[in-house]
Amino acid sequence: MQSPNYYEFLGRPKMISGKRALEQIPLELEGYGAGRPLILLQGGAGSRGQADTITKALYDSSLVIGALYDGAIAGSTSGIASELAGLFRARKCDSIIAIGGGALVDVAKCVNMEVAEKKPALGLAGEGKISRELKPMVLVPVALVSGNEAANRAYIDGLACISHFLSPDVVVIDHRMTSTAETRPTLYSGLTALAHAVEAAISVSANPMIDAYAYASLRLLCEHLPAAVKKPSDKKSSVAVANAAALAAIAFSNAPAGMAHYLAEALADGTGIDPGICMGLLVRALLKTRIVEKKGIREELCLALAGPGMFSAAPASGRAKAALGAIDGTFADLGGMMPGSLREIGVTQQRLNEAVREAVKASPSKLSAKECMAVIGRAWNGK
Amino acid sequence: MNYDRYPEIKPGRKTIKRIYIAVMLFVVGRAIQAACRVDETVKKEFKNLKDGFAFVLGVHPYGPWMIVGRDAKGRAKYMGWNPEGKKIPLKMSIKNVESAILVFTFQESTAVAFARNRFVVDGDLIDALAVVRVLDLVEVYLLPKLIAALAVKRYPKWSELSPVRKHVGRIVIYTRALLGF
Repeated sequence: MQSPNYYEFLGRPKMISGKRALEQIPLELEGYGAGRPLILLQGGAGSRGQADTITKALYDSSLVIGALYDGAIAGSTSGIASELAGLFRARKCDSIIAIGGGALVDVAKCVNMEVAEKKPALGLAGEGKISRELKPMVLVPVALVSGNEAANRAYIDGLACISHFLSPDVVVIDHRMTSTAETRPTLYSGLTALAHAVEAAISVSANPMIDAYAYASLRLLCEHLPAAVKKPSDKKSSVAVANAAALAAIAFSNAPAGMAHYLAEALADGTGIDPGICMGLLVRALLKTRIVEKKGIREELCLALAGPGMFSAAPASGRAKAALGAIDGTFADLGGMMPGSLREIGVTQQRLNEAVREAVKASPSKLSAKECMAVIGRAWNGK
Repeated sequence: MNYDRYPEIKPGRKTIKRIYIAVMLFVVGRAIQAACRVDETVKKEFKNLKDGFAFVLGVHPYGPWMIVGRDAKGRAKYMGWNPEGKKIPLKMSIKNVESAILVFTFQESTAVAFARNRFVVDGDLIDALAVVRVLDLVEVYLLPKLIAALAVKRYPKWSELSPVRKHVGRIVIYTRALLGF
């Protein structure tokens, strides 16, 4: 491993994972001087059970639930964020517990921005616009579909807010919540985590800390994602995938978003396909392109993907291919749930050019349109 | 949005689990007092503690609690369940009722629970470790080997605690714990 000349890394949030993890929330909030949370969870079929679980987990504590919102949240809009910020203030809450993933967590972060900064969250869109620590926030993942939930960003009305203050303070992973996830969100969550961890590890910001988080995330995904997708109610694998997603999000918070991320978001915007699936296919194509163009893959990443056994069995020159083989193996284990190419999920060839244009425009790191085209073309063909 | 649809919720209590923990703490507290008169290792651990030492072990934030102190002769003394008004240099709280249940149903040993940060220690850590060692030994006396092996860090070998000493000690400790002397 090369010793870096210089790097910065913020290891936030605190992670609590495993048996009876939910019961640790009151004492964690007490540590922040908070004891009156607003609980947000996604309304729907499983919300009653989740509400009961979290309420019972908070029994015998000095904490009082200011309000438990279990209405449907379709997207992160300034309207719902303002309404929930009103509920937060009306109930004199002092902290937030978000249970779920995706838009719900974005909304929770926007509510937090509104109540802490005392201005509409939409006005805080952009990078580094938040000036202070927000209210204590606990994230309880079900399936971290967007990959931003445990990271330092949130979306409101389609605009990104990026700040280290947006990382949750504590992530609590408990099988009573993770095993309620459905098959597709579990798959999307795993593929997004895979892409974020790989892209963080090959980014210019890669450093030993990012490598450590990416390694843990990728090993968990390679070993547990297929089992979690086949049976999302499985306690062990659902907890492992949630851990992988949170770890990847921490690595992602400390590195610039990469090509697969921007291309997937651009494709998802136009087609309505979940960005997780696109990210999975794109990151595999990205690694293949690097091997074909003889750019190579870092040894640390090869080890993370291939695992110690396969890595040490492969000759030094064949380790990148072994890493790629490991991704292919994981995708094959996902069976029919994982498409082989972008073409299979209905992305048209015409859409590729538009997606590349949008990705190049959205990325602050000046992506090369030619490289993007090579990667997206390979993902479209599935070769 | 109609805020009245989302009222304040005051979480309830887990009464049955708290009663179970209270009973366990009572038995263990009295057993420590008895073990200090029966077992040389426990006696030595208490002798090494400072004069006026006492510790409280229980569940954060509402209990139940168990208080054990060291008397003038260096022996352990069970001092009841109410810590109010008592000068206690060492407070060991289990973070919540569920974590306490894991410990007191022997799903997690005391050492593992410590390692998993399920305890909050307020006081001298060296004294806390002495207390953990005492708790381990008391559990060996109180529980059958099958269960005690789950509850303690390492079950003592024959050379460390012979079966005769263990069984005789168990009878005496149970008798003393039940009668309270």
